Amino acid sequence: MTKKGSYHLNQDDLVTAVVDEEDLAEEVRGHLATCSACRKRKEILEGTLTSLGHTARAYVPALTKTVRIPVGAGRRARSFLFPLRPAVATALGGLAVAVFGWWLLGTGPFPGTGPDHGTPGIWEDALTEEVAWPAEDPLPAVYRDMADILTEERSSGFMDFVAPLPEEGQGISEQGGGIRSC
Amino acid sequence: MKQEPQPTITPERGREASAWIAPAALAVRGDDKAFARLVEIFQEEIHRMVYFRTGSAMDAEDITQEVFLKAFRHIGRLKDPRHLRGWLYRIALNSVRDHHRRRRVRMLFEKSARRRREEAPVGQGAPAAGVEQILLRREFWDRIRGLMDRLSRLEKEVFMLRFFDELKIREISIVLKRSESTVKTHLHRAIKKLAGEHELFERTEGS
Repeated sequence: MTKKGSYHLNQDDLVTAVVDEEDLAEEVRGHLATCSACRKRKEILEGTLTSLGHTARAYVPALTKTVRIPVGAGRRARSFLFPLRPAVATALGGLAVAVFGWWLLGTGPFPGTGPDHGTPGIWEDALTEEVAWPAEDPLPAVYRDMADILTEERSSGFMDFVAPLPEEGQGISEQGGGIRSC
Repeated sequence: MKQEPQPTITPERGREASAWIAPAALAVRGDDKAFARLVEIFQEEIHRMVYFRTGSAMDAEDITQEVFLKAFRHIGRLKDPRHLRGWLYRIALNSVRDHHRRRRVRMLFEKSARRRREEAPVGQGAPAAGVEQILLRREFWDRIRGLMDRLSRLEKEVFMLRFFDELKIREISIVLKRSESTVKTHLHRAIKKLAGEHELFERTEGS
């Protein structure tokens, strides 16, 4: 922007000066205070905006009926709880969550509250069964047979390859400690 | 005991905070006479503000009445009487919004109703004037509407509150419930946008 009078306020600075001169950098403000050309530009812009508002106000029709407050209009006094509104709202919200939580878990402070899970014994058995079943065989029934076949085929072939059954005349010497041809 | 005569209230005087802070403080404590004085001071200003945003003299008068009725009912909630002006403008702005909302809903059911541009007044209900005056007025509002169309909603509101309603930055921040720096940023943007395609800067160039 400024360099000892060789430059003047740019558009940005000019607008900032109109919005609030205090927001200008100290150097720019110093320039504005001393440079009559920049001050004039600022005044023109300010004047244009002000005259826009002035014309708008001039084109407003006069108020034909003055405002009247009806006799019966009552004032609403501020509730004594007004300053506590956020705290009260938070407390009520917390209470609602707690009550819902108690109800959901069936551990409410009042007997008989909470969702009905049925007779405790039956419910526990059903849960145990449900949990234990995947541990025994996690595959769905459809795949279970297929898996058996595959496992059987693969394991017998694989085992034949890894540890072929000794044919006649071949075998594992009980004394030699290895496979040997006879 | 001789009573001091009450000073005459003019719109210019109404803008000075010293004219309304004392009655505002009394009105907050429930003084109806003090509230009546506030009505005298602010009714024209609020009516004008509403007219800028509705474009209808009749609607502006009804909404102004509504604004002061709301203010009367709730003035006990005003914490700081110095914020009265901003508080009144906030009520007025909310009332204008409600009015537009109601009108939109009504227009959904009234197919025959003609949608009219309401952002800028076109001189409807203005005092009797010659044809030339009416045309000038129409031309002015068309120009303003053209300018305002380039701004975002918040920029437009900040600009109008600053230059049409002559509110200070601090007062605008109370009306819009935004920080002063946010208000300044939007005002800065609004002026720059308007100046970009307008002769505002043309007149300031050439130095």
